[in-house]
Amino acid sequence: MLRNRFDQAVKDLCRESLEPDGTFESDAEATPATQRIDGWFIPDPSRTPTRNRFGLFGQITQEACTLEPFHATPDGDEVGECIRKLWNFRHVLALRKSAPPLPRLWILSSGRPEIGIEDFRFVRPEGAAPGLYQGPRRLFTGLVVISELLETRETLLLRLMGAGRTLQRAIAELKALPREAPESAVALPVLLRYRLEVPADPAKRTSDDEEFLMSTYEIVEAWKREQRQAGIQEGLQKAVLGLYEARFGVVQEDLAAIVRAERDDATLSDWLKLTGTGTADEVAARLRGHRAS
Amino acid sequence: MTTYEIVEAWKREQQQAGIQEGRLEGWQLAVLYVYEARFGVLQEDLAAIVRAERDDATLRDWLILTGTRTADEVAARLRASREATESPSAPTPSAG
Repeated sequence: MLRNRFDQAVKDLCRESLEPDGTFESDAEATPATQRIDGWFIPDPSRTPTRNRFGLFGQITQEACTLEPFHATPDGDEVGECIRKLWNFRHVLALRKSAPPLPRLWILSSGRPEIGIEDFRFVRPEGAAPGLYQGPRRLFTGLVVISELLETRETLLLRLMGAGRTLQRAIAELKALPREAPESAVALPVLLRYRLEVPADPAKRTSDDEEFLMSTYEIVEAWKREQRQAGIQEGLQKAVLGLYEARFGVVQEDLAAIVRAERDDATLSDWLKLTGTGTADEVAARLRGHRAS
Repeated sequence: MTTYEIVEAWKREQQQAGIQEGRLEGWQLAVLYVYEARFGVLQEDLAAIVRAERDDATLRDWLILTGTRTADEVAARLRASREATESPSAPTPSAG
């Protein structure tokens, strides 16, 4: 069972990243005794893979897998519980008439689960990326220690599944990417959604809720600033046109189009000042000169 | 609702609010810019009246006034607006 808002968000992040490439099921039943797998992904070989865009996350999901995110680093028992669920799940799947590919497990842990690593003999394979561990071969289990990942674009999506400073730095990187970047397209809506679901009443928020609000504050504020900026431009454009009309009469359509297309505050304020102080000919010449330049 | 639908609905709502806020700020800046271009920097008490105004139509009126009339006329209109806001409203008859 998922443990908090962060884990819910990570589950959705996995879904949004992987669903174009295959089937993704959350809360998959592992046994009749109501055990649930957080996320189960089966790649569809008939679809062109898109998840390679997500670097290391795309690499670890090349084959059928289950995903267990932990916003709080799991203790030894919790790691053991994940492995037991995987084995139960593989057993349930193997009994099906046409069994799907049996998944391996990826534990996505925000921090380093020392006891789990020691007790289940996780090691870093030679040449593997920092933060990536494998259990013994027949355990079918890998571990990602998100706080140990190198801070590169390759690991960004996984680090967005992290916690604390790791998550904050990942969000800062995400903000710097263009909107059309695949990580932005997948992660921004998910982070926004879970932010919206945090109770408005502070008394009803958990400490995780508060942390989530703080982690995602800048994303929302940056977006709001963009909207406000668009409004300022629209206000200045209307001001130029309104003032022109008040002083000189109807604005010619080509001039109006030049004003409406302008996105630079400084240029719009220049035009506004000129419209307030110059003649109609001066304004027209400046606008047409701008278009020609 | 899907994540996409939830986020898009929120974005639409925020977009309208953000653009409206920004548009007001655009009109306020426009009045201040044009005043400064024609008469020099607007006195702080009058600039504060402009920055506090939340009505598009009023700001538009002030912009046209600023672009077409004298500094005294602009100042008089702004002060009149502040006095109208500050004067206590007449008591309204009770419904019962």
